[in-house]
Amino acid sequence: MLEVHRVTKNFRQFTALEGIDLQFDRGIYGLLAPNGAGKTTLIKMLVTLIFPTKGEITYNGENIIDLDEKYRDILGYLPQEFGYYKNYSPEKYLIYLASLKGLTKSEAKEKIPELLALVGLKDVANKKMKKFSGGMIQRVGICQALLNDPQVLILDEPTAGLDPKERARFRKILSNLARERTIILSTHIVSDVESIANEIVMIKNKQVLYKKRQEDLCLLLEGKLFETKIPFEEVEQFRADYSVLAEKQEEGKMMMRFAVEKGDRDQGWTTVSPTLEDVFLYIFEEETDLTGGIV
Amino acid sequence: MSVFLHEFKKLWNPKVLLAVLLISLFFYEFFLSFHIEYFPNGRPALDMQQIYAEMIEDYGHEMDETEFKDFQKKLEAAKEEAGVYLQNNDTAQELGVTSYEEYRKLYNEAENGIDVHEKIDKLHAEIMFDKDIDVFWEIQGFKTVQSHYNRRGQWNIKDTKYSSAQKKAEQIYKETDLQSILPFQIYENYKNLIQYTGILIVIVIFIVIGRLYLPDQKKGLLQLQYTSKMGRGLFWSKFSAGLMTTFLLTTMYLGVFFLLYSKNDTSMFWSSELSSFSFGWPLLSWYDFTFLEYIGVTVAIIYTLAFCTAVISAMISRMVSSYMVLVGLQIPAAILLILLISSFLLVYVFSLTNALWVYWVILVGLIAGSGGFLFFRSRREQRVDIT
Repeated sequence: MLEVHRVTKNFRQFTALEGIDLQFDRGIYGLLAPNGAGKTTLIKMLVTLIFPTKGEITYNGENIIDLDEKYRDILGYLPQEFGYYKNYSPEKYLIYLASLKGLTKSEAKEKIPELLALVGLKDVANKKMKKFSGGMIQRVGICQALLNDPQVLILDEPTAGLDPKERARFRKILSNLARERTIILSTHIVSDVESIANEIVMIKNKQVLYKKRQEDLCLLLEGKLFETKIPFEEVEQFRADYSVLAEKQEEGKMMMRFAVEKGDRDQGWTTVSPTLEDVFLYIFEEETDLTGGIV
Repeated sequence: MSVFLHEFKKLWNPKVLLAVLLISLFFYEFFLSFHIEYFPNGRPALDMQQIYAEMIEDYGHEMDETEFKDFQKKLEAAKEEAGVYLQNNDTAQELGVTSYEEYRKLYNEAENGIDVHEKIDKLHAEIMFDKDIDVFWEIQGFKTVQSHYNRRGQWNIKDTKYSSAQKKAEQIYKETDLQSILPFQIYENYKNLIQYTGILIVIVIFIVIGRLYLPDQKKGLLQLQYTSKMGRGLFWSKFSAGLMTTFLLTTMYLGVFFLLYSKNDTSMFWSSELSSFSFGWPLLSWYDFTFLEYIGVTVAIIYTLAFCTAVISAMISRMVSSYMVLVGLQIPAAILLILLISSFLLVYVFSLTNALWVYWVILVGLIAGSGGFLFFRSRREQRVDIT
């Protein structure tokens, strides 16, 4: 079990995270927060790239810094952006990373074709990576993270650059892997984790706001989420009065999806079931614009 | 081992090696080739080289007073041979010159503008340059050697700052009588060559090892490398690859250098002591080296410099985040090393020119400085945030 105990991270005068407590067991965890909330800082501490200013992170009860290579031996990590040698083929690049991960050449040569096939890159295994699209590079990144068959797999914005088909394939891979290991998936794209994460961790104001199952998170807005159609001229006032989570034009009017915490409910409003995206937008309302995009 | 080999191969990048080769050829052409292609440079340097070589054959690596008498006989024989030439020369006969001494006296004393002066001047040009008569050049060589031998140990060191060097020089004179046969031009030629070779090696190591850490950091590879099982241990794997590259490059350059240097054909002097009668007192050595031992010392200094350069360049490469800053820091470091090389470390190293402690302070300072740089950076590497 991977545990974060009262972890604070300061960068000189700036506090990025404060007093974080978390536990990760087997399964997929979605780390959900807008950009700049401290997701990557937490991830980098989990993979020992940076060190906590206060507190500690343990794996099966031992500090991951003390565990040193024993911890990194069971760790797979896909950073938000990662470097590669443009003139290397995926196979050559993965052989290099496999050697860093302590695999023998024969083990690597056996494992690499399997992984390349898994992400649909078998046909280009020996082509130079400089000709690859962003999505293909990202798939090579997924391969490298899986090279050492990691017990803890940490992925930072893993679907960046992937097309819908590739994203679906990626989610399927993760679902299969999650049976026997801990997977932490950091993203600000709700749909990445919506269908696969067992638990969602939300970080706000440098602290963990929620760590709950999706269903439990959705209960936060149960009975408080509505939809209604209003004329265009009333949109501005409506936005000022309510927490609007989404809006779209429909039959010459504006369909507003909004949350109401307290107060009177209008007869014309339709109660709707909240999704994870609604909860995300509601919680991070001040960081999002009216159309739900991240500011 | 595979990681080490991978890092090693990355340093031997063909484009960088081609650039290094071009720089080396340029450097050879401008600074080294002259001292190989034109050595000994003209006459009587060439004649002196032959005279010294014959002295080694006849007397061994030292010339004592008895042998010096024999040497002087050779000078007299050469003068007689020159006299025979003059006796058969029409212009000389016209001038009444029948011996070498008369010829030199007339050449030195004839007044400008008079007929005799014009004739002796013409005769001199004919002998030395038009007909290039060997024996006249040889006499010049003999006389220079004779003069050096006769004046050995007669120093007039007035500057008190050299008092310890003066004492050492006098001690060497007392102990050795400065009988060693080692021509100054051989020592000077080697000094010029090894100095520029050392500078070239330092420049090459700066260029090659400067790429040890920075390219991976710029490509964003550290995040994957430092979270792998090997993790921050990669710092040492890369460093080992850098040291091995430094060793091989230095050995290759020294190998090529000594191959080229062999053309200068100086091996007969290798066993001669540095306490040579043809050196001025500042070039005598604090240590009792033979010329070959001195060559060995310069080779050891070059390896030391190469490894110190590798450490400095590697640590700069790890600390900076752009090539601009890398070069900006490497240039002053390289200038400092080049100044140390051309002022102390490869120019008459351990000679009485400087106090003995100066050489050791510089050498120990360089090793301790670069070692300390490595120690502190490697400690920091274990806990530095990779952001």
